[in-house]
Amino acid sequence: MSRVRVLSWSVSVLCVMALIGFLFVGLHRDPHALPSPMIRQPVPHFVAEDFDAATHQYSEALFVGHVSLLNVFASWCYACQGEHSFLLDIHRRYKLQLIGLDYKDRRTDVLQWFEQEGNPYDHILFDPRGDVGMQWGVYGTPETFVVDQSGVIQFKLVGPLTPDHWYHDILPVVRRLQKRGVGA
Amino acid sequence: MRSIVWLCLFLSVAWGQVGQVALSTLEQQRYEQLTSELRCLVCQNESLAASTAPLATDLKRHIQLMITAGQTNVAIKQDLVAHYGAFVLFRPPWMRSTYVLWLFPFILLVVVLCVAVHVIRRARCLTIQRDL
Repeated sequence: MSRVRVLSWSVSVLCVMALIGFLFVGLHRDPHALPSPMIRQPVPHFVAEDFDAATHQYSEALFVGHVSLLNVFASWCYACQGEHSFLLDIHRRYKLQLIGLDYKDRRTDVLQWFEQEGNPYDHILFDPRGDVGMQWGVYGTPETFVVDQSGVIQFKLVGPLTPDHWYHDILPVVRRLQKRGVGA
Repeated sequence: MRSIVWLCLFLSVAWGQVGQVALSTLEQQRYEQLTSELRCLVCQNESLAASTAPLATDLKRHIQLMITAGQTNVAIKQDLVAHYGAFVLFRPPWMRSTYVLWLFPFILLVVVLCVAVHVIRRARCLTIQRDL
């Protein structure tokens, strides 16, 4: 075989292998998982009603000074009910500011739910029309954000918070942020 | 009488599509163009204009409000990209993650041209050799 022929054969084989590799990687990727542009960005500007006191309002200042978890939930959301007991667990076991964003919901429904199952949140932002959610780039419930002490978003999880996600993806981030401390 | 009923029906449907925000004809055109160029994030192969998902309805309302507030199309798109990522745009922008997407057709074209030139030259050589 001539040298040119060997070269063209090896190039073709390489191309086919690259294509197979490309398709194989694509097979294992979730096309619905979207990268959030909010990661490493400061918390967006928002004004949200306090769930417990309609006259009181929260803003991005709520996040300063604590490592926080912002959990987007709704009483009508089935997956949120699934992660609820685990959130209660997190609230009991870890020193974290746990903030809920009650997305497109009714107060009475949430109150009824929490009366039976308990309330895992330190503060709840009430967002009946989904405006605050839009500021955060929320496109469904549940979603969970990790925010550092200076109010910068460090991680976002779309979908229910499972122990697997918590121990593998979120807790290491939280530990790193808590070790880093304020202003570092 | 019948025409009045039809008019009422038409108006109520038109009103339902626009929501509570009143737009002028020009603004309505811009709104329709924008929503057809933006992607619904819940049902990812639909445009905002075509989608009836709750999030799409919210975003459409948000766009209407921004249009009436005097924002330009570019500013509105930038706002949505800032919150939801470049994925909301149906036309992918020129950015790090899309270099391959934009350049690959041209690279492929160059490769195919090179191969074609090579093959044609060789074929010519062979015919010349045979003729000799």
